[in-house]
Amino acid sequence: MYSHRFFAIALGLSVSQMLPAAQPAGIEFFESKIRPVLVQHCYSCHSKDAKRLRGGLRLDTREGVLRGGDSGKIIVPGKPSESLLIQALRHRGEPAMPPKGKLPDSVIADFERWIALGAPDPRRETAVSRRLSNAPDDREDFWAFRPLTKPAIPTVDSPWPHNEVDHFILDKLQSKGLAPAEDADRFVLLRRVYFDLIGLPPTPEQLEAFARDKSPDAFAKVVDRLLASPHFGERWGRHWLDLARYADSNGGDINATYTNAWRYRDYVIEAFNEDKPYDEFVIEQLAGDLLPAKTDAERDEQLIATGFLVLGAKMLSERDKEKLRMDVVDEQIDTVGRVFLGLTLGCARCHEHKFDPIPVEDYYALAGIFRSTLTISGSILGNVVISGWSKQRLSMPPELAAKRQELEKQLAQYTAQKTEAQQLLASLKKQKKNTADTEAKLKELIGRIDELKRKMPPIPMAMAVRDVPSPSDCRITIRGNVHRLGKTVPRGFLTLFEDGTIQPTIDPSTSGRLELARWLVRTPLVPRVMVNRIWHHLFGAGLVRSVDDFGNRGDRPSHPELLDYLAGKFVEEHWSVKKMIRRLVLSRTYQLSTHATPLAKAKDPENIWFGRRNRRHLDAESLRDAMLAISGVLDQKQGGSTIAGIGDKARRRSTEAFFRRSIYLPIIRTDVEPMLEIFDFPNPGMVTGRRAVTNVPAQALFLLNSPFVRQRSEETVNQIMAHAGSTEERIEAAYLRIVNRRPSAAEQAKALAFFKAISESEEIAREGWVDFCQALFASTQFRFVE
Amino acid sequence: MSETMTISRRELLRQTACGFGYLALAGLCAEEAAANPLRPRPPHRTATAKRVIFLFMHGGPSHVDTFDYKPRLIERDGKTYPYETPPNLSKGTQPILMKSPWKFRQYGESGLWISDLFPHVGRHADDLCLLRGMHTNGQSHGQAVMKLHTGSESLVRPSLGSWVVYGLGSENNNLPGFVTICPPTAHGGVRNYGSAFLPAFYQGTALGSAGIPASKATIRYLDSQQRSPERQKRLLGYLQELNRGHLERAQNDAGIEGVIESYELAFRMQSAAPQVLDLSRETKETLELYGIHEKATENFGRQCLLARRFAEAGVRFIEVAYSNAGGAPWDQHGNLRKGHEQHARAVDKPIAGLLADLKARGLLDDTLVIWGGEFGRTPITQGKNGRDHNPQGYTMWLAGGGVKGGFSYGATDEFGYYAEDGKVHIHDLHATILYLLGLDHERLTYRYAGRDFRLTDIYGRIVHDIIA
Repeated sequence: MYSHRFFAIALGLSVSQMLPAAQPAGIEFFESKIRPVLVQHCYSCHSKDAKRLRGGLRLDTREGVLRGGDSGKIIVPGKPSESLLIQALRHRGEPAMPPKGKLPDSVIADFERWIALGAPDPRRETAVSRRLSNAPDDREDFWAFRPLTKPAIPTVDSPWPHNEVDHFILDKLQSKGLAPAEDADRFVLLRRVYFDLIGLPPTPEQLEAFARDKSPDAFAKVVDRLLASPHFGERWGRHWLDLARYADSNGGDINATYTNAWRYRDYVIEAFNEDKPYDEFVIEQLAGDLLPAKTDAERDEQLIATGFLVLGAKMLSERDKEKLRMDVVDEQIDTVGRVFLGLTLGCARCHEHKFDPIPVEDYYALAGIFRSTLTISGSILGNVVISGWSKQRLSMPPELAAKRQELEKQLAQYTAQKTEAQQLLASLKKQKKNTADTEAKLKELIGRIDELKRKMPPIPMAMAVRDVPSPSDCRITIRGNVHRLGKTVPRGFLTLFEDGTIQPTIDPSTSGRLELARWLVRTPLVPRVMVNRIWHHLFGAGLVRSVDDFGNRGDRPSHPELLDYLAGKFVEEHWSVKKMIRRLVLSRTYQLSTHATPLAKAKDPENIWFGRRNRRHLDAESLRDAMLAISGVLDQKQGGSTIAGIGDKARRRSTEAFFRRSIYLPIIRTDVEPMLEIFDFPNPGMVTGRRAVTNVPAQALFLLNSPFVRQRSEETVNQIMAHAGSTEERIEAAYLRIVNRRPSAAEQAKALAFFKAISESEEIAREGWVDFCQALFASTQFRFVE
Repeated sequence: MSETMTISRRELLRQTACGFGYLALAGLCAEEAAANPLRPRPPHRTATAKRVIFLFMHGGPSHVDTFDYKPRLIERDGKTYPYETPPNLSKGTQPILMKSPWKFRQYGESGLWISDLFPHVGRHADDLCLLRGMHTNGQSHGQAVMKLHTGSESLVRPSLGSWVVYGLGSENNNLPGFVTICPPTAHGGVRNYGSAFLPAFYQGTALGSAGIPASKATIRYLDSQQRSPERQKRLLGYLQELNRGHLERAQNDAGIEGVIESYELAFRMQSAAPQVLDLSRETKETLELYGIHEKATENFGRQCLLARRFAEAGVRFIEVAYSNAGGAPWDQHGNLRKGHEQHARAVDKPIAGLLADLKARGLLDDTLVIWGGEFGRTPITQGKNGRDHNPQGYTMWLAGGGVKGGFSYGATDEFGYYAEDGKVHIHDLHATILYLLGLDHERLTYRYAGRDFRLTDIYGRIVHDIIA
């Protein structure tokens, strides 16, 4: 136990993540041992659905269990022997329950244990049954479903704050008897903000310039420059692609290539670069195809955005196509719920959500919308069993369109001639005449046709959805089985925010996606979830730590007022992501050092109150991109397909000579680029708002032994050697480039000692430099951002 | 809490002089230093199996031609299947029954019926526990392969091996806990040994991949390239010095310390793994036992021998895939005779060799060997001379690890189409495997996205009847 705990902590995992046994035992026990028995043996007489409620007793809610029935209280929590329920279960006297026969002793023992545990029970009366009963509206019950509040900025008696964010943070720190850490060193701060905003390190020149600029707005100038950099979208777009489970292939059973997924990737990068208002961004991804467009370009962009709904992994070879269709709907509902609302909706496919107020009806109300959306379409790979996905044509530049038209005309002519020649050939053969000339002609024609086809400018296509011809409501499937159908549920939205004013109606001739999208961005969860994601990426942990789960089982916000304040500002400032980032980065809280005082460490070991900076691992892309940049080989080309020629079935190709930023690496679902995979790149089939952080030995092996790191080290040596100078100067140059600071005197001495141990021949000396740079690349100073 | 833990750990390291250089280079204190997430943990109950070797037959070998003897099928050869046509047949397929082209005979004291495709394995009949009432979901390879490996035919879920290592840790501090030898790249690829939402420590480490000769299969980046051992040692020494300097400045940080330890483990792996991979010290008799001296059996023989070596070295879960670059070798939609003969020849002797070798070394008692494909094949013909996919009923077998030997459990119907008696679903097989390893499939949970996940989802029934 002791050592488990230690290593869980050492590896940055919480203890509950590591140990199956450490999870809240009571609720688990209830869910696995008690609830199923209640459902099976008791609910028919003791629940809201009972034809006739017996004995005035309800066992389908916690309140009911605690209240008891006509015979009085049925349990005394903690005291099984005094509980009427146990006596009834034992069939000793009256009442004897269940009346049909005594349950097995082991089950009764479970109930005793449960009561001994204090009768833990997560069920709330209103949560699961609101739609079905006339229970009062409960949206006030849970923080995340409440409307946004407008908290006042706390007044603090201190000159410390830079902006209002700091007021909230300092106020909380003070109330906990804590003080903020000192400010970060300027070099440290610059490295931090470069990685956070553009995912690349500053150059030695940029470091020096910032150190020299003593003006009060020196940092703000840097921030504005980085926000305006085209690399900003490459950094923040990638965060979004983690959520969008972006990939260039299907994965799943048939790893078909997503030839046009890159257009969605580029759309996302561009959206962040041009600071597209987040509400528009959401609406376009869910219903871009249903929006009006003024220009072809706008129309294209809106179609491409809906690729979001198509990107999921699908079982394309599923022979039961209705099941495939509903599985895709399920994937879409789950994705939309997690990404935009921070809610897991998938549970409700088979049963009422156990922890959040999401009844089965709500799931099927949404399912009707997505089932009325065409996602699976046609077949691919020349196999009728293997389904394809929905695509839409994009506009073509006029000159290309004209060229295509011209070539199509020629193609038609040649094809006609070819048919003629074939017919002639057949009749000549029948007559046993000489066919040499005709055969030659045919060969020539085939050659021309092939050439024309090669020259033909392809019609640009996007992975994009559309409404099906006759949208309709969906029937509930019993426990998720698509062939066991229950009642029909009208298309609609979640009822957990329902207050009578914001449930719009759906035009029955459409799927309802556009109404859904517009409704979504008016819920309080969408801005809350997004500002929390932004906070998470900048501070290394969210105000709500479970960034993808704002439900009952998720974490509660550490700073609920700050969260609502920021969410409100976000909406007020037209959903500008850049303004939000700017506000957060210019706060003093962002600029703190990682150094924790003993008091802070003792009182706030996990830095819940943000009194210091979280030390963070460089993510896979930053690690790779930084090495490319530092070694001087980074190719800054942006956008475009990087999977051309990969074929219909995706296979990873060598990326040895691919020096573009990592966001442009092809993402093959079953075979992710090893470097990315090793450094905790998320599974591209899953929605990921918070990446795992590990120290697996594969990372160490990669940094020590891979050709990639060795080559970058060699190129970096070339860079350093180009600046002629003493060994000391070169050591300093390597430090500045790779870890973005000057070495201390002690570090200089250690480095010199390292070189001294190597013999003097020039060749070996160079090897020494390569090893030296590689050691810096492998070092924790490079791998962490302070 | 974490603070005191961190300090005591550091103190411990200091007091025992287990600094990096001493520790890794001298190979001492490895036990202590490698205490990590893979550290062995006590099971939920007394285990009969300590480790697993899973022989995965990619493509779906036909049960009615291997381990499920069907006299009625022989009798009715060429006749129309007399019941309602089963669902999901390829279009245009006439339901004509086809007997097996191979003879079946009884083996061992138990008298289990096994076809002439597996004469070598047949000699181990008294160690085999046939599950002849297997059934699964997924009519296509992708679905069924993932169902077998992860319990889900469509969603991204942790693989069986990952769950096992998550539950039990590993017995070897210098090797990964879950190794997969030449895994398929198709039909889910990495998903079949991935950890999904479980921490990455629990994912399978691949040696090579399907289509790569087993003689070339190795762990990625294990080799230090052109760098001499001396140079590598110097580089590492300096690197760890840098890292310790950082750790000191940071006044103890669990993350930095974790990285320092990962370099130690990597260094140990660099010397431990090549030793396991090196077959040169095996005797001629052993190599011949596995068929490594013959062309047809050389490749799979090597894979099986590697599996034994990993098992011996304390690796918890070892998968050996019979697969190829193109996909699913056992997938005989046509040319059943030629295909199955070729594949059976490639695996029969190596598997028999593995069973014999494990037994001779006393390892079979606590090693659970699992054999099988993602589904079986139809008793009716497809095309001229092939068989289609059949997830409705098929056979897998187990050996060692506390299961009954010379035992047959469950049955398909008279023709071998549907599992009928003693039905074992993949979820049930998973629950049973975990049980044999001492794990309770209902208690082995992991919380992700607000829910507690299990390998067996909400299903799974332990097949107590097959346990010795």
